[in-house]
Amino acid sequence: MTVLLQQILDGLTAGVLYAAIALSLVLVYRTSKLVNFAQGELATFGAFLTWQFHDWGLPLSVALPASVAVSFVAGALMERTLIRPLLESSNHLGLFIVCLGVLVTLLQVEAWIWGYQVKEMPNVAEGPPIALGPTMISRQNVVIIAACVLIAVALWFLFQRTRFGLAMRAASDNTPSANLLGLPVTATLTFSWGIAAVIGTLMASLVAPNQFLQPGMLLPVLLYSVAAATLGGLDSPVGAIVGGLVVGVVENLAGTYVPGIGQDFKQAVAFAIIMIVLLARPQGLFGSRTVVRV
Amino acid sequence: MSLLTVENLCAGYGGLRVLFDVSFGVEEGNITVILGANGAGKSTLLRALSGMIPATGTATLEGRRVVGRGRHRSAARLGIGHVPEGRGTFGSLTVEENLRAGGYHRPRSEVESSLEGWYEFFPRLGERRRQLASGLSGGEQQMLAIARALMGKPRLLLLDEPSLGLSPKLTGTLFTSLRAIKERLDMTILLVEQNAHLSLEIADDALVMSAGRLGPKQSAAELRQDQQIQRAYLGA
Repeated sequence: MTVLLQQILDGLTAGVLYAAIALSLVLVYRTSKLVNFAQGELATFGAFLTWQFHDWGLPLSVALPASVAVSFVAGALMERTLIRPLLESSNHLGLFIVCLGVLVTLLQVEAWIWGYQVKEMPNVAEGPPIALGPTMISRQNVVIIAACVLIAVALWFLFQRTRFGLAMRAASDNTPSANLLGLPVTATLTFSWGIAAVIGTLMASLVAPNQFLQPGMLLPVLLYSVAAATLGGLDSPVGAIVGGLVVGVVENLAGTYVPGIGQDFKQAVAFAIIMIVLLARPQGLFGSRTVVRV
Repeated sequence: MSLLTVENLCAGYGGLRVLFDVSFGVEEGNITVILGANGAGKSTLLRALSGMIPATGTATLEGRRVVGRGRHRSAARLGIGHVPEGRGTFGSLTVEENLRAGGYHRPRSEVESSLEGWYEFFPRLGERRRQLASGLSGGEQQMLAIARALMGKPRLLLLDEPSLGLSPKLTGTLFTSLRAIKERLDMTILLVEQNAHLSLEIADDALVMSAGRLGPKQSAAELRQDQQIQRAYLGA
C-alpha cells in the first residue's frame, strides 16, 4: 500500500512537469494551430541559461528570473521571425519543418556552448524530504508542484479576468471575427509564444537538479507532454494539466506494476495513450470538437 | 453627402476577380440593401470594405479612406461594424464575453452601460449572458453577432445575409429589430441579402448586384414594384 501511494505521489510529481510543458504546447497550439516540437528543447535551453547565469556568480533568485525574461523574448522572437511568415501563407509542412529545425539547432548550440558534460544545477529548496503520511516528497518537488500551481492560477487569471486574456481566447476561437472587431490578434500570438517559453524555462530550471542537465534533457518529457496534451485536448489548458497528471501517474504505475514494461519501456506508454485517444476521442477529454459545416 | 462612398472597387481571391468597378454611395441614417443571387459578389464587397481581403479602388467613410490601407488595419477602428456571413460568434466564450470583445476599444464605463442597453434591447441575450455562445439558437446567435458589432459604436453596420438559416418568422423579427436599431441609434446600415421580400420592406435604398457588377441605386419602394425584381426575387 505504501509502495502504491509513493508511486502515485511520484507519478504526480513527474506529471506536474508533463502538465507544464503540455500547457506550453497548448498555448502555442491555440493561437497557431501547431504543435511546437521544439518546446521541450527551448525549455532545456532556458535551464542552461539559468545554470550559466548562476555559474557566473548570480544567486538563483536573480539567475532564474533573468533566464525567464530572456526566454519570453526568445519565444516571442521565434514567433515573429520564423513562424508568422509561414503561418500567414498557411504552410503547415513548412511550420513542422521549422519546429524540427529549431529543435535540432538548439541541441547543437547547447552541445557547442556547454558540451555533453552533465551540469550540476543547485536546488532551490534544500533540506531533508518531507513526510506526507507514509510517503516522502523532496523539498525541491514541493517547489516544483507549487510553481505549476502558480502557473495554472496565473494563466487562469490572465484568460478569465483580463481584457488581453479575453482577446487571446477570442482570437483563438475565431480569428477572422477577432480581426473584424479590431482585437490585437497578432499581439496575442506573439505573447502566447513568449509565455509558453517562460513556462518551459521556469519548470526546466526547477527540474534540472533531478534530471541531468545536458542537451536533450527534456526530449523524453516532450513525448509525455504531447501525450498529455492529446489526452486533455490540444486546445484546452485545463486538459493539459489533467492530462499531464494522468500520464505521470499511469506511466509510473505501469512501469512498476505491469510486468514487461519496467523503467526502460515506459515511454511506450506515452505512445499507447496517444494512439488510444486519437482513435477513441480525437478531441481529447476537454478539447473542442472541430465541426465542419458542409 | 454620402456617409460611405465607393468608387471603382475591384476585388477577388488570388487570380479570381469577383468585383468589377463597383461604385455606389450609402446615405447617412439609411438602410441600404444590396440584392443578388448566390455568388454575385455581395459578401466579397463587404469583405473588401472591411479589409478582410485586398481591394483596389477607393472607399471613404466620412471622408476617411477605408480601402487600400494594408491588410491588417482594423475595420472596427475605422468605424465599421461587420457582421460576417455565418455570424462568426465566439462559441467558446459566454454571451457577455462576446459583447465585451465587441467593445474592446471603448472605455470600461461605456462598455458597462452599453452592455445593459443591449440586454434591454435583446432580452434573450440578457437572460443568457452567462451561457456559452455555442449553446444559442441561430436567431439568438444572429442577435449576438449584431449586438457585438454595435458594441464597438460603429458609424456603419455591414450585415452579411443575416436571414441565412433562419425561419421566415425569425427573419421577420430580426428585420424589425434592424429597423428599430436604425431609428433609435440613427444607425446607417448596409445589408446584403438574398431575401428580397423582407429586406426591401425595411430598406430605404436598394441596388442589385449580378456577376460582380452593381446596378443603379433605386429607392426600395420603387424596386418593390419592379417587374423584373418581382420575377427574379419575389416569386411573383
